Amino acid sequence: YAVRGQIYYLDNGNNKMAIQQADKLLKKHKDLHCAKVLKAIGLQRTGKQDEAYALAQEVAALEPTDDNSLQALTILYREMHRPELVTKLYEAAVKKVPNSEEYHSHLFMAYARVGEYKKMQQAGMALYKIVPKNPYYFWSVMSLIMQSISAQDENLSKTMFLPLAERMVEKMVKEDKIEAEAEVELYYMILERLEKYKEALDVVRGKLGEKLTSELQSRENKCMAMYKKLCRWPECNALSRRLLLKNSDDWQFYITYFDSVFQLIDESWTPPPEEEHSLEGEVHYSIEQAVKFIEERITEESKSSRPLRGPYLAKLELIRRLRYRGCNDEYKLGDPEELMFQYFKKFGDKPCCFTDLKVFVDLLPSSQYTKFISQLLEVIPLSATAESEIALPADIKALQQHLCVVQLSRLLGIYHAMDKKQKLTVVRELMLRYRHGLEFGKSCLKTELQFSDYYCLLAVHLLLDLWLEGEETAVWQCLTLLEEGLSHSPSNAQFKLLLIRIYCRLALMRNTYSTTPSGG
Amino acid sequence: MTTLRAFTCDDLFRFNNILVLNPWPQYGIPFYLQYLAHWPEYFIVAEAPGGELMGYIMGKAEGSVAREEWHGHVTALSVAPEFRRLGLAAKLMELLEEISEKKGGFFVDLFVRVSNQVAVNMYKQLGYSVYRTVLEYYSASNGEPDEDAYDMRKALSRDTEKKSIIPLPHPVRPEDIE
Repeated sequence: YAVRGQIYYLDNGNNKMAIQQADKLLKKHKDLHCAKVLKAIGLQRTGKQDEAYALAQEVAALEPTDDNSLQALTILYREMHRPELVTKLYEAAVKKVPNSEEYHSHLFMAYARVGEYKKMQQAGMALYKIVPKNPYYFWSVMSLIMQSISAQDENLSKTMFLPLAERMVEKMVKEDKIEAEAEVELYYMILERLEKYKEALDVVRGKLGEKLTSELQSRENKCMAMYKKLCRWPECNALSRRLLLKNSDDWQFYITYFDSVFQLIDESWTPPPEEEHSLEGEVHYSIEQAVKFIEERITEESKSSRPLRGPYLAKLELIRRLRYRGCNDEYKLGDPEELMFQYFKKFGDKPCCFTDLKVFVDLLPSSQYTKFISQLLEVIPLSATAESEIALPADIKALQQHLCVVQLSRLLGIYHAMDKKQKLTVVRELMLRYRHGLEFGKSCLKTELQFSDYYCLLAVHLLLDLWLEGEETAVWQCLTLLEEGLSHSPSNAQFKLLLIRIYCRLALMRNTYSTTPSGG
Repeated sequence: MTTLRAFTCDDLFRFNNILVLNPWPQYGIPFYLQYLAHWPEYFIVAEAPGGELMGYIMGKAEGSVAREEWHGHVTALSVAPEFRRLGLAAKLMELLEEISEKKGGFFVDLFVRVSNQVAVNMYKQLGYSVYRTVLEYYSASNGEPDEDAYDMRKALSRDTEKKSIIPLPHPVRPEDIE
């Protein structure tokens, strides 16, 4: 069948043949709509927009109701980026065939593409009248929510669209017609936007909430969000405590646990006598309990062969909170310096050690910075060899530990305080370490980074500091070092980005293009 | 320490550090949004205490239940270089497997480049085995030959006799995959 031939040509990008084929067909059957539209698609794809449009409109004006023409026109309008024309198409189609579930569906989708929410709502209900399937009803509900979100008048959202959506869902609930998880999600969304937090909580905790099965911890997460909105700190605390017992590495629950404990302390909350502490179980409402809880998590973790970082960092966070309230000393949690040192001993060989400790460096007094760094350096196994003046790491773990310390040194401003000569000495040392570290990365793939790349980066940044302070020649050394680094680590995006920035600053645009193609 | 939560649209603006080492070509935004719309429960991101995104996993569920081929599929799994060696990939895989179990899947599968020994070994350690080889699955962009993929599988509890992971005796072509 010749039309299929046209489609074949179009699918394979052979627009010329498609057009030729169409002309052949149209000579014999000049009103073959489908062939005309497919010809229009061919024209559109060869850049003849106006011709294509004119041809398409010839067909559209006849208000076709055959599937092939409709689909072909939809494709054409989409390629022309004229989605509003698809709505007109199907509006005409459903007028002629008012009971077509398919055309009403397409009409709904067409409205969705142009964001005509009110019309979507109507199309949804029209569909539901033809075939009372839940999805169609809830498409309507969803369209109401979209209207409420996009309404210019906030009041209208809260007093018209959302309440209407709510009533629509309540009707289905009353008639026990709720089927899908998505319907419950919509209900929750409506109640949340109406700020009916208690009602939302009841839905999630009730029978309907049992449908929330796809996402892990969906019910717990939604309950937690509602407890926070309702300021129900006992529940927040009990739930976060339970979730931490399940996974003591999940940071967001430590934050909630601490937030809620301190709220309860400020409210002087005590558990009700002879009753459950809260809907979610046992509550911690004193600092002693919080301290004990964290210490227990740490004890648990220290038994594991691969301890999780969570409890250790949580302890530092607790110290920060107590300090903020002016009461750290009483609880004997220890000095942050000591805890961070212990943390480094445990996790210093992991790349994330730096970003973890970075969160808590504000707990260190600045007078202690140098001492802290020295302390860390002492525990790294480094040894000087005959060839090298400096003590070097013997394996990747030691290298990573040392890198962490170097990064911390920069963060704490230790390099910043140095004069030019000292900085240049540091640069020299960092590059020695960088080149030495390449030994460990001999088997790295082109798509991986070298273990010692950060040494090179930090050396470059120190030189950049000097350049910005007026050392003209420093920038040239930057470029050399970065190109050296890139030659060993072709995937390192930071090398590339720095090179691009520096070349641009120096107005050397030519090199900029050769460094970008790999998407780094 | 890791917050594990649902990936959101806004995270698309923040996860360059995770993508930075992915081989070319990379997925476009429509690809991610499609997964976010269709299978949001499988799209999980890990966030560090300082707010950096550490890694993410993206997947879907497909296949016929009647043919016992209903399964979870790992589409993408990536951990940023600065957050490696924390067992995060294993944790994300564990979550995807848990979701697939909840959905009654028979197995979980994924495709990995034959040359990516590091990844192949990691999945083996997590209990995956090679089910079949798919010839020239990965098309190369720069004149190099296309690369084969291993289709690796792990049986879930619904597959009581572990039938889904019996390896095929011969490789297949991409056209032959459902």
